[in-house]
Amino acid sequence: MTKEKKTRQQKLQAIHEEIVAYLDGELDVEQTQRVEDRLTRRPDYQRRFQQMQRAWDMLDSLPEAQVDESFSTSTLEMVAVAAEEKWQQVQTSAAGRASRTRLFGMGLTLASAAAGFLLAFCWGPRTNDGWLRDLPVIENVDLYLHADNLDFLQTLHQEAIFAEEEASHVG
Amino acid sequence: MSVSESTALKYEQRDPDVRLMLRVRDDDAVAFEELVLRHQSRLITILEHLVGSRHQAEDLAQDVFLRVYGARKRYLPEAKFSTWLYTIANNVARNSHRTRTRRPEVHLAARDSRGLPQNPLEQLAAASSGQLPTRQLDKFETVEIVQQAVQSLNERQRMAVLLAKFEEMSYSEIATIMDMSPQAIKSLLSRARNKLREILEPYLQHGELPTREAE
Repeated sequence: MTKEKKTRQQKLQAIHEEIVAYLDGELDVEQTQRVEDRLTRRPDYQRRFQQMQRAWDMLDSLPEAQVDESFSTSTLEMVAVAAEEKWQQVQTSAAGRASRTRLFGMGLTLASAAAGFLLAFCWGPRTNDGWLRDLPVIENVDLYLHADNLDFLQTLHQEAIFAEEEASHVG
Repeated sequence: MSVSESTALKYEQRDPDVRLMLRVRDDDAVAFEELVLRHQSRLITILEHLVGSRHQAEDLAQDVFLRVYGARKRYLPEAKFSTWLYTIANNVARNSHRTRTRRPEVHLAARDSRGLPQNPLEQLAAASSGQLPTRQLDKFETVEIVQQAVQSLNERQRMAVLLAKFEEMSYSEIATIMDMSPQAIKSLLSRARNKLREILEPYLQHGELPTREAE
């Protein structure tokens, strides 16, 4: 395309845009005045204007759709069905969420109970420790009752005076 | 998207459809039915001329209304209701066009066994040139010619033309619907209407049709 031809096409396109915008009421006062001025002075501009207007007016012959009641009825039914499905989805989703929440709650309770037991088992006070520590004494409490003095018994133990007897008792 | 309270109030006061849609937002089924009844005819008209099939236009219109209802909780009155409605319609039609393009329909041969052209434009051209027994320049013929002229536009040109013609929308509204600038809509409409002129003018001037289908 030559430069001259391109310029002419651009000029024509600008004229078309101006005419169409005028017909559509999209021009401001000054632009409107300019178009009306050209219409009175330039026959070729006026001819193109009339052609554009006639072609546009021909579109009035296009028929408007005649819609019967069945369309709106089926549309409303479709929307109702879609809304019902959506509601069901929400309900199912909510039920699933509630079920998951319940399971999670139960798991959390069990885990807490186990953790509590472990904590109590490892670090809690042990009431049996004292009994276990004193078990040798408890077992021989009748013998110890014969000796009135604990220090005396410890001295005997340290000096191993009855070591052989102790060994034979143990053995 | 944030809409100022004054904008929302402005559209609520001016546009009865916005008031209806706000009731639909609050789950008012009667308001939705009223909206469908108010818009179904115009919507189907535009979609029919857009896609060239009444059956498909009705399917698309139902899809549009379904989406309107589905989006009701997110609805904000930031424009006229019709602007919002046709934005949805434009998206639905574009998606449908993409699907159709991926699955092209198989067209039968253009001529039947008697050798008569099946393409309506060719038929009319033949009628105009006297190849058919009777030449009927009637209202039906005019409608056919205009429909063919509209179908010769590309999809975007067609949508812009239909919104301007049937909904009497401004460039700014059409721009919002088609997600383009008003200046781009101005150029688009100008090219579309010049194309219509090129196709329709020979018929208007001489009652004859161009012998080839305009691209």
